[in-house]
Amino acid sequence: MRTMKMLPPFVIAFIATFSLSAHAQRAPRIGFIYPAGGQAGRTFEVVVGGQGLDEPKGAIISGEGVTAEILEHIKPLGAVAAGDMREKVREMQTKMREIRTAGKIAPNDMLPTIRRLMREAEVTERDLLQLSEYDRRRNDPKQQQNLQIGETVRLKMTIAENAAYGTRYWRLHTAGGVSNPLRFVVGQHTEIREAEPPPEFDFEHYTGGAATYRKHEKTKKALVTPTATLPVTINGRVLPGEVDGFSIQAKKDDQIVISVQARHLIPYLADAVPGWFQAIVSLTNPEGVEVAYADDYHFDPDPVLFYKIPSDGEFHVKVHDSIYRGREDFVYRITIGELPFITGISPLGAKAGSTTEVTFMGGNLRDQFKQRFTAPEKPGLISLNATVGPWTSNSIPFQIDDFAEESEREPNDRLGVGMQLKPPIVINGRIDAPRDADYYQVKGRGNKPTVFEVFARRLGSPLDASLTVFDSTGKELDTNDDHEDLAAGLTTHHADSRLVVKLPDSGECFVRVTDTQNQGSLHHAYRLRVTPARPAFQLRVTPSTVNAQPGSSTRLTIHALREDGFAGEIALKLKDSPSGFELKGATVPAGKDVAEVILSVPSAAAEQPAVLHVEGTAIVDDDTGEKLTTTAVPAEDMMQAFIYRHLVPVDELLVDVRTVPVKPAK
Amino acid sequence: MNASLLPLNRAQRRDLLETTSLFGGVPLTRREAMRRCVYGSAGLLLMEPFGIGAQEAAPLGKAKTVIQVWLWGGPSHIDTFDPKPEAGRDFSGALDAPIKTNVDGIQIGQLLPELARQADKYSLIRSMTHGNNGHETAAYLVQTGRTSERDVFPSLGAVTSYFKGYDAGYKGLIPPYIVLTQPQGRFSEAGFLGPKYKPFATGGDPAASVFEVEGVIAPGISAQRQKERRAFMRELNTLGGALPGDSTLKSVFQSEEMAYELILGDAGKLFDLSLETDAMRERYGRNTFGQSCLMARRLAEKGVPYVTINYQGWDTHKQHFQTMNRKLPELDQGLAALISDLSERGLLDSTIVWCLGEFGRTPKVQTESPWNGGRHHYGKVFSALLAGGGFKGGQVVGSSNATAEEVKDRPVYPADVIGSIYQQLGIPAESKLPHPLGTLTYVVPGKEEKVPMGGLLKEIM
Repeated sequence: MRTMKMLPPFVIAFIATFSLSAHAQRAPRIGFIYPAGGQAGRTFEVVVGGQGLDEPKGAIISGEGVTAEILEHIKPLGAVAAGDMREKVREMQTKMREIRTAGKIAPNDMLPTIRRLMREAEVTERDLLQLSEYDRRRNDPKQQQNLQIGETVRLKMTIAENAAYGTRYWRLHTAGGVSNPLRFVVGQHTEIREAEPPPEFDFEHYTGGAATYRKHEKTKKALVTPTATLPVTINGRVLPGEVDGFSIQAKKDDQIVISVQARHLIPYLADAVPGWFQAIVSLTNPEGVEVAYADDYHFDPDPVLFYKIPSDGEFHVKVHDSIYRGREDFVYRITIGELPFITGISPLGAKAGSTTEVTFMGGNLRDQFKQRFTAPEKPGLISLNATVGPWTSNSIPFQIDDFAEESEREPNDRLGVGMQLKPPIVINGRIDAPRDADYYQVKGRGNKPTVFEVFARRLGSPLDASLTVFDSTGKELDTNDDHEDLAAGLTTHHADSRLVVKLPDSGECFVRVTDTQNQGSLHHAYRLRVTPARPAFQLRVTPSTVNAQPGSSTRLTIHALREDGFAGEIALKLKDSPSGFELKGATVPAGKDVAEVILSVPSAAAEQPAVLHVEGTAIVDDDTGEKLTTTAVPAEDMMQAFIYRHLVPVDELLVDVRTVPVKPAK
Repeated sequence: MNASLLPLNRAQRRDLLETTSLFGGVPLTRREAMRRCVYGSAGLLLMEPFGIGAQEAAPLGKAKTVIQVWLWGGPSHIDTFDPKPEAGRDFSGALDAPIKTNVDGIQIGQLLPELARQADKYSLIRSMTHGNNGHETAAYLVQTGRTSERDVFPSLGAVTSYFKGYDAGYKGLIPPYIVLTQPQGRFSEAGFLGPKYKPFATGGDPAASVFEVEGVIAPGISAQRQKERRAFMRELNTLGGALPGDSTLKSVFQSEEMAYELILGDAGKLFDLSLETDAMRERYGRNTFGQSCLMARRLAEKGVPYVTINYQGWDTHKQHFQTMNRKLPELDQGLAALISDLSERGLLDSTIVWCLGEFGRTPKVQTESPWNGGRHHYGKVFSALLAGGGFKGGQVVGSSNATAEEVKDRPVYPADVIGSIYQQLGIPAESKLPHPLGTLTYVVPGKEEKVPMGGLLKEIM
């Protein structure tokens, strides 16, 4: 008697579970865009990798002037589908062999015959390409199966001539909803792309197995990207073990800047350690000698190189991951040229509404090293850059506060000697030499809590601050090296310091700012904010893209970043939202930092996603009844290195209300 | 003032206790110290709880060997020893049909049927916790019981080697602390005890036709060839002939003799799994883990104090259920065979088997991209299996909540398990460790270390 081998019940159950949940088309999730940017005024192709990308409709890109047109969705073959396809190909091969053996075919009729056989077998060129790709992945040790970026969509991107330079947020819109956002850069220079093998397939290749594949790979010519003329932006990506190289034509006395964007494009990789593409860049002269190298820039993982070209010639730029990892989402952009680059500014901020002169430090800034401008009326962060000739420099953050400001005055490098501060105040200071220490004096406040906070790293300064408060006798009251600021989602080393100290009434107290690493330079600027403790909160809302069926409810997560002892309840509501959206009775309960709230969406589907704003209000001072209202910053709750999580701010909270197609059960 | 009434600090109490032990020439148990105490009311002060050991009055045990089955990477507790089918498929995935064991009221994961038949021989701790989600730090925490960032403490294996190894009269060529087969590399097992107490990692693969133990079995060289090489070496030994009786050379030759004994003598045969019957090898499973368990049993038979089986592959952020379907049957067969075989040979009473990883895994299945059905690290609550060596079987200590995400009752910290194992091994909690800076340090953390502890596992001791 023949016995049937049955799948264990748990396997059947497992398959059932996950195929059931796949009935409703899942919302798209994207992992990379390549190239992750392009030049204004150009049209070019990009590939987006992700999961659940069925039926792509278009892209939603922040700002004006960037549009996308879907060209193709490519879903990789699974093992079963690949086997079926291979069987069809073999049948076609057999038929072809029979035809040739019978001598019934003229050479010119070969291709038409192949195409006829393909039509009869219902095999398209796309099918063959996919089978080829399946084999390539299976046989290439550099390729891994990564479901999360396994599907791709090809798009035609068009960037208007007048589109603003800088980083945009890019989401894919499909029948299943709107994807998470990724960063996409509108550049100002000529862009080129790393040379890549064209998609190839032939009968021998995809039916010959691994040996044929290896032979095929060996016979391929080395790919060389043409020598670039500066300035240029090069787009590329690395696979495991790869070192990408490019040739550039440089002229004597050019002060070139080579800046890499890798982590900037994809800040965190959930399933990689280190948790981002840690790019390394080097420059080799025409004689083959490495003349410059960078593995970061100050504290930023993305490296920047500065080099003065000694003589005309062809130089080579190499880029790779620090531990030679790679994957399709290890995408980079390298901008090279004699371009303005700001390495630091002074001061790092200004009082709201004030007119301030800012000094820029950096390369190729020419006469643009000082700018005078009036700060916005609203506290917060803005970006500054310099324009030199036709080129705009990198951007650097600038903080706007609503307190009085003063600049540090020397001498102030020992206890008892230093400026007298009258809180609330912001001091713009600098640790201008190694082992420098800046002291300030402040009067006791009747044992009331005073906040001392250094803003440096968060504003682009390399300072690794350390903050210490002493009483009038010089006895240390408290000290802090690193203060974790959850609002700084892109920061992984929270180098800025913060202390809340109850200053005794008697006499002067002292505060000292130093660099933990005993470094100091013109770049080691800081802002020291000294204020009475102000109970307050910030809000983050995740995810930044939500997909919901018409008339349904969905969840948003609200993160409360509480400050200076505020522990009260925060009432939440939608601000100026389109009709039909409702956040009923939502709160972040007292003492809690995270709350899941239910968002009701309109009963009718909409063509485009709605932009929502969540607002929180709370009584932050029980004695005075003072209320604080703040708008939640849309963010992505991103994981890196399998464990750490960061709330990374993005542009908008989008809610897409649409009827999602239901797939037939497998 | 009566000096005996002076409050003593912890160090003084320890020193006092140690002094009393010198009276009898043997370490004293707390009970013995109380009985003999000549300090009157200070005797009670002396017995004031400090650290874990002093909280309990359990007598020291007589276990001789510990086998640590280390599920490297962190196994899912909800899919193994703490199933929660009622939590639904968001948590259990497809593994939502736990099975009964041979102990009424205890169920375990459905892929562990062999272990279900041995449940009367082991206890489960379902409320392990430390809250740490990093591999390195959690592995250190679980195997040392310590959280100190200042000192690098030795693992339970190294401490056992220190107290039960060569310094304590252990004889034989087989090192007292063996790792099958690869060292972890994520922390130094020996800590500040130094390289002398590092484990001997065998390398090789016990499931291969020849288990090539590093330094014992040379790959590709037969025993006969080794003997021939040795004879040839002796012929070339002109220095030995020129300096007969030289003490240094004598010592070298003795070391060589020992090395060859390990390679070619009876000691080396310990690693020869072909000496086991095919049936026995099949019973454990013909895979690296199964044969490692068999090897561990052979080492326990020879009285090796501490054996660690480092079983890799439990870090299942992705492909979790596929990995469980592959690995849990291996774990089930190997571990169940080990426990039952030790029991049948009368060795389970003197051999402690503990099985766990550095943490559990997120009870809620991570269905989103890029995980697609994985589970992440979870140190908030996880499970451990503890058998033999005086620990009771058929018991469950502590519990987690309905979704296995929180400890519901009786939190058990790594230091509790480690302290309990020391107790069963007859290593008093107040035993000193030789800190390199002379800092008074004991095998079990004291209160000043602020290591969270819930108390010895007296429920199963």
